[in-house]
Amino acid sequence: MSRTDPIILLQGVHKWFGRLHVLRGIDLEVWPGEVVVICGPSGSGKSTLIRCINRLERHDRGRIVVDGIELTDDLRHVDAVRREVGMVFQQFNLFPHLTVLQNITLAPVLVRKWPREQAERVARELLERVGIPEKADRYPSQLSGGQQQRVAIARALAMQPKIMLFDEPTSALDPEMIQEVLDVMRDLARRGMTMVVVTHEMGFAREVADRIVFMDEGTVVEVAPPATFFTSPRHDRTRAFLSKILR
Amino acid sequence: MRWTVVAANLPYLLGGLQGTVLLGLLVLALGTLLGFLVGLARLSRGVVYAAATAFVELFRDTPLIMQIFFLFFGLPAVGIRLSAFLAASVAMTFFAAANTAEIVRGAIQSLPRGQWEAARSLGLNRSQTLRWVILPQALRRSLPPLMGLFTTLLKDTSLAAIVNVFELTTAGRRVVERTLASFEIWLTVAALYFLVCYPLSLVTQRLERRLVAEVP
Repeated sequence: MSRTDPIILLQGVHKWFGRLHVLRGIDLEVWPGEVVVICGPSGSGKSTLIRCINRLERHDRGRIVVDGIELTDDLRHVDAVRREVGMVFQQFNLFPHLTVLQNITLAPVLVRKWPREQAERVARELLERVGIPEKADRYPSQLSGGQQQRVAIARALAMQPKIMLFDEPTSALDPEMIQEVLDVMRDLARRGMTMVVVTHEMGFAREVADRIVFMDEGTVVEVAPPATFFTSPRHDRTRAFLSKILR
Repeated sequence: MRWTVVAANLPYLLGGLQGTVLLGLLVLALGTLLGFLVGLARLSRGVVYAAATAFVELFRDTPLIMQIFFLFFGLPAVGIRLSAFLAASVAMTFFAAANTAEIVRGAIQSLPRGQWEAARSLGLNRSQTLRWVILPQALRRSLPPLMGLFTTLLKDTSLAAIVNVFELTTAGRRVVERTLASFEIWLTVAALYFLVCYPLSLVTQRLERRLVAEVP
């Protein structure tokens, strides 16, 4: 893999919610094929950061460049980036009035202008991959949380994105369903997908991440590969966080 | 009691009922259509939003009967003469539209923000998101309150009687004036309203139960 340009570049990114300064000068580069896990205490700005990458939140200062396109107020740029960046949410956000198959084919048909047969073929392949091919004609409310989240991953993948963003994908799940979602994410990482994952699942981070980003109070405190991050963190705040989360 | 009066005048009363139903359907069709557009306009910004908001507040926060009076008795002072039917149906259409707009807007805004975010993150633009994700859900949610509004409006068409539009209440009043059989005729008129509105209420309740069952 050529390490020419980062596929995601953040330079001096600031974000305010009213008077609350939630991102305080974030610099981050993500390389193609890399899995970056972002962790940190709640309120540290990690979800806001990941939501800035596809402009669900607008950053107030600094630069964000995704796949060579700078995110500005130009809506064409925003739409272009969103087509290449898939996102998985904590609350799944499936469309409840559509079947599983319709959830997955909606964007490829409307945005990519694929013929319906092609979109459905790809959708069924993806359902096979996430392990629930038999649920194609069900509605989201008929599925368990873990199944819904796997459909949400398939829905994002159907657009054939270059980057996948995961915003606490297992936080709303019952414990027994967390692994089935993490398995799908592991498989995705193994296939070389560029992933940015906000999560508290440190087991997943240790095993899958290339680098772990620790955030606190709107800043990046520490970036390190898992081996270093868990065994010899450099900052006190990282150590304090790890001692709380790894008991 | 002189129930033969009822039998003798029933065809005339049914003619009035026909007027009620026609006026009701006209107002519902035009009012819903207009209200839908106004409701969408309330989601935009700037002049469009301001105009839509002014429209909604104006027609929701004044009594329907005043609106009819104003259009029928007030406008001639500035040289605009509407027939009684036109004045009543325009006022009711605007009243229906203002209420429909609020129901539609409320239903759209009651949807979780995550629905917008999921659609936008998949690359759908604003109008595609509205058309394929938001409106199908919002319309389902607004169906029971819309049906309730329809029932109310159908009964409120009786207000057209005050400017002498021919509908059920007007027909009843004319028969009473002629026959003096107040008790029998007004009871019959009430029964006719009930026969039309009760099934609507039943349908509304069934819809509510079904939609609640389907969307957990």
